[in-house]
Amino acid sequence: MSSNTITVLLVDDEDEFTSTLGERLEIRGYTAVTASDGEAGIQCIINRDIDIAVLDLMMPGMNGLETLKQIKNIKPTLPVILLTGHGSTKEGMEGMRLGALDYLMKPLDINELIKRITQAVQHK
Amino acid sequence: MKNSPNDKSFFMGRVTASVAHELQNVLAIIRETAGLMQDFMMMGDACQDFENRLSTGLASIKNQVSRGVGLTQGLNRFAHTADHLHCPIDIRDILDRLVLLTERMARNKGFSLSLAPGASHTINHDPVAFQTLCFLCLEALEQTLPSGQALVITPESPGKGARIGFACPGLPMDSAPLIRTWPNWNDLAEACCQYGVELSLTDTCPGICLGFP
Repeated sequence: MSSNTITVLLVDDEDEFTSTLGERLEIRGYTAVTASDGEAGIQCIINRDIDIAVLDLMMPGMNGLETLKQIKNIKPTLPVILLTGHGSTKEGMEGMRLGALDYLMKPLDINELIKRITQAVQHK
Repeated sequence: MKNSPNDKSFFMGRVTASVAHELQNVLAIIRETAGLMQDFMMMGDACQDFENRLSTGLASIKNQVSRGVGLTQGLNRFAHTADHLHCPIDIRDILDRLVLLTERMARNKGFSLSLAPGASHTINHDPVAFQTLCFLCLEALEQTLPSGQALVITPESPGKGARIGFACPGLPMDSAPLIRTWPNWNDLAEACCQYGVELSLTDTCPGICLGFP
């Protein structure tokens, strides 16, 4: 699967973060879809053909781990990468126990994210 | 062994961790925006409307730097409130800062947080205990009342001391009994007793009132 056929869903309440990261992914040939909270992210997964989801752990309303659980109920094979702004890895590890493929710390390195996206979609 | 929620160091840690998390978001936006500007430069002529996009990126970085500066200044002043065990407290100033530093925590639980307008006044108290009790009241409301509400802090000066109200004016009074079901209500009551603070429920809308001597 080449980058221009991969649709990445970015879910974070920091809209400026998702829009900028989305634009950077699009420059690199990906299709980026953004959502401001867990509920909107779930709707995107139901209504769009999403290949991979990138979720922030700390969001208003449904947080990242709750969103992950719902995603795994709706689309168990969808790869999910978690983003965490916490210094500790505890929540990221908890996310992986719940089925997330991986977690990355904020601020993130786009090349690292792309590496994880590529690996995830290849294994799909 | 976990610290009790009414422990002052536990409260300082909670607030600091939350602000550190928010600062990571600020840095993440700055990093992505700078990266995007670099991407535009690498694109050369293929980047349309380069100057406008560059200018938008610079404005975004400036905004995030201002946001970060506000948070670090607030955090620094917050940290220094632990310098004295008992000192004059400017109620409006300390509550303003508490709103700035805990607004995101409230938002994550589905509440907006604000300080009602009014004149400032000073009381003598333990500043960290003051903030811990205020924070516990906010937590009690955020964890027991239906989310999607505006949470308003109203300081009043009844001559001597201060009364601080924490309430959801948008909710009917029948939600008020929920507040006492908060699992840490007894801890809050105990901490109020320890610091000589009167704890009661507000009578016009669901909320809590703290009466400082």
